[in-house]
Amino acid sequence: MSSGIELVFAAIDTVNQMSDDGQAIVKAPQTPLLGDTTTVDSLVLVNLVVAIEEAIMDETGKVVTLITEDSMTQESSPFDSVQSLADYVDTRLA
Amino acid sequence: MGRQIVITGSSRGTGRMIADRFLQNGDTVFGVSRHPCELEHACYSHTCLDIADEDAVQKFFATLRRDGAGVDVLINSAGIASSMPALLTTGDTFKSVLDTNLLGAFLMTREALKVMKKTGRGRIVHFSSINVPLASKGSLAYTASKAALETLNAVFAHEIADENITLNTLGISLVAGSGMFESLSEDVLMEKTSLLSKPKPISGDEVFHALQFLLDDAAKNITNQIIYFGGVR
Repeated sequence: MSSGIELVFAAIDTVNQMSDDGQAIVKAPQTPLLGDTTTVDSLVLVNLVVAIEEAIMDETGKVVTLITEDSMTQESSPFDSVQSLADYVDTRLA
Repeated sequence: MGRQIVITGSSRGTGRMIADRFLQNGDTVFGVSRHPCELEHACYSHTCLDIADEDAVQKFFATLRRDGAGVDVLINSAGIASSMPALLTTGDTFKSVLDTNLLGAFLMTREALKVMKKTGRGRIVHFSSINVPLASKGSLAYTASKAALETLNAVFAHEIADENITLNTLGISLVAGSGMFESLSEDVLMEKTSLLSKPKPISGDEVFHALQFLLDDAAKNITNQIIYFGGVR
């Protein structure tokens, strides 16, 4: 079973392949996904979440919905950065 | 090369009619319905599922993805009708109609778009009804579900306007041989046709013709449109 960071990195590859310049998201743990410092477009973030959910489905056969009421109301958003998203994926798959 | 087309409600009625025509046209059809389908063709495969079941819909598209099948076209033809005076329509009936006609169409569209966004192209067509502009009496749940479906289509079309993907709606009138047409009483039929400037029942070929127009490569800038049969708007 792939780790959260492996799944997120693979999803970033998928999303970057879909973008015109191939660089929609920098593939690094510290890359911000939300907030003032991010360069990631909100639609690209949607594509990233979709790609992660698909990768989980392909690998485990399970339907996992990453964006839930809970995930959106946590004090520290799991979608803040690539690393926090990877940690969140690990939590959801545990 | 043939297209890969997902059709909901392909086991009978208008869905079955158009599945036959796409197969004759050389396309590959992935049919979906709650009931088994008797259609046998080398390029046809059928999956029994309830399109209002989110898990089942996601697994259906995951299987297509795993099998390497793309989705060039989704036609949301599945629908259930309810003929009942508004004041006698129960909440359960209303929910059931919305589940199939609206929630089911939403789930199929959302999952198909995930596939289409990867290839950067795709065509989605929903089946609505002339009952919407006519505000037909006696089919409140059905008509309300189709009106909501038209709005659902509009929002989806706006959200993905930057892709070579289009979403449109066909407002079907009375389709001969579809089962629904044959099930209407003479009184209801008279009332409906009296409101149409083109009152004759339409054929599966006419529906297929309208679909071919919307699915054409050259129709890539025609999105968020509703084409009604019968002369209403």
